[in-house]
Amino acid sequence: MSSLCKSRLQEERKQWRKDHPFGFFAKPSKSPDGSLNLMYWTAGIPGKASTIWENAVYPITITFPEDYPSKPPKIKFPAGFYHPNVYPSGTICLSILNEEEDWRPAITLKQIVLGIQELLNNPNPDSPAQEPAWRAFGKDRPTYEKKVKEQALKYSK
Amino acid sequence: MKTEPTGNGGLAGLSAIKLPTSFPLVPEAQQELSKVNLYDTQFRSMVSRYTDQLEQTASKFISNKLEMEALQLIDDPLEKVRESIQKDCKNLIDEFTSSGRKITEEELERSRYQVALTAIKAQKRINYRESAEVSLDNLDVLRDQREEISCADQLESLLSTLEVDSATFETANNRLQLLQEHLFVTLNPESELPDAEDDDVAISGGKVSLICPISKRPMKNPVKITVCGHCFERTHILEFLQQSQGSGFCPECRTLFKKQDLIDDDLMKLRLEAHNRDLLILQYREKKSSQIGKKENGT
Repeated sequence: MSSLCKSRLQEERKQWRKDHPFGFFAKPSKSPDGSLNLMYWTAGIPGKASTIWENAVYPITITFPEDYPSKPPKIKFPAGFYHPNVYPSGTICLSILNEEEDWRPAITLKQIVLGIQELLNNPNPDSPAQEPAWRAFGKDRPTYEKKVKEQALKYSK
Repeated sequence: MKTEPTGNGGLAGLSAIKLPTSFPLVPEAQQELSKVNLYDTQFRSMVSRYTDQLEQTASKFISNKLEMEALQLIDDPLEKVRESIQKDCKNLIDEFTSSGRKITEEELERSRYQVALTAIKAQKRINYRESAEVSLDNLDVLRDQREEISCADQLESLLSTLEVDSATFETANNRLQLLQEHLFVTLNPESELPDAEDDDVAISGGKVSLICPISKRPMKNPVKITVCGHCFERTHILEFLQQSQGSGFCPECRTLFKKQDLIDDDLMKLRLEAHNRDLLILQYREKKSSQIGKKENGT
């Protein structure tokens, strides 16, 4: 891990502990020896109130590359997560997380998780990442909403 | 503003510097020239005097001396100390600007004088050419005329060497503007420069960020990407650039840039120094007031 990567991640952790958006959590994982692994975090994204995603906290994993913040972190929901912009593997398709698109080293962890929360209820139909959710979102909204609500129950608070 | 000289018509517009009425014009004109010369000297000395004073004020503020002043006025809010210093500086700058304006007007007169001189000389030359063939009768007249022309030539070349160097004025103005900016940030390390229309610097909550966007830590050696104006810690932007094979995008706004687009950001550096100074002052004040508190409790 480069020193820049390490110091930035320490700073991100410090900032998060000092102040983070309501209902979210994010923490570095623990290595077998009990020390913190800053390169691999687990976090939770609450669904926005008054949406079909509400009353649930969706788990994500955040993997920071060695050359973070030059390169963006890789963020995954659990495999099979139901959302038009989430690949079957769970990887999230979001422009701010794509180095070729809108990733900028200045983007903070807080901005990322808020961006993901926004994406939950505002899928981008132009960048499909999985067949079932994308098709249902476009053509069969009742089924889509039913599936999303079922998923919300699974991750309910 | 006075009327612009328009060929010969401009001659009538001259007021401050009187045109000599007759040839040969050497004695009178030289008097005029000495006047111009005087302005020039005054101007130069004034420029250096005021800018020196301003620079002293600015650097003094950053220096420990001023910290001590602020500390001694422990009962006054820091804002008040700043206000009084800002007022002093503003007076200096105003005085400078108004003197500068006067000099510019004089310079305009001087250039009108030069135009007039050229016009008169041309007229004389025509007269000379139109005069009759050289004969014993007009030999003296012709010689006088020729002398007048060569005299005017000398005068003209002298005038042009005395020209108030417009670059001097421009340099002074630039220096002044920089000083004003420096002064402003030493007093307000986290505020945006007044009248800054372009958003050169990252603003968060109306404040200028002193944090490097890459490491999210306070900067120490700030450099600026000239193409977009965003500012980063030197080592971090260089490391970032290296990872992007020499040509990267701005970590703040994705504008493409190269290593040669990076320059030291002196203004940001000043902001950082001033910010650290403020932290020190606050620390010192807290310490001192807690000491006072203890004393009061003790008695």
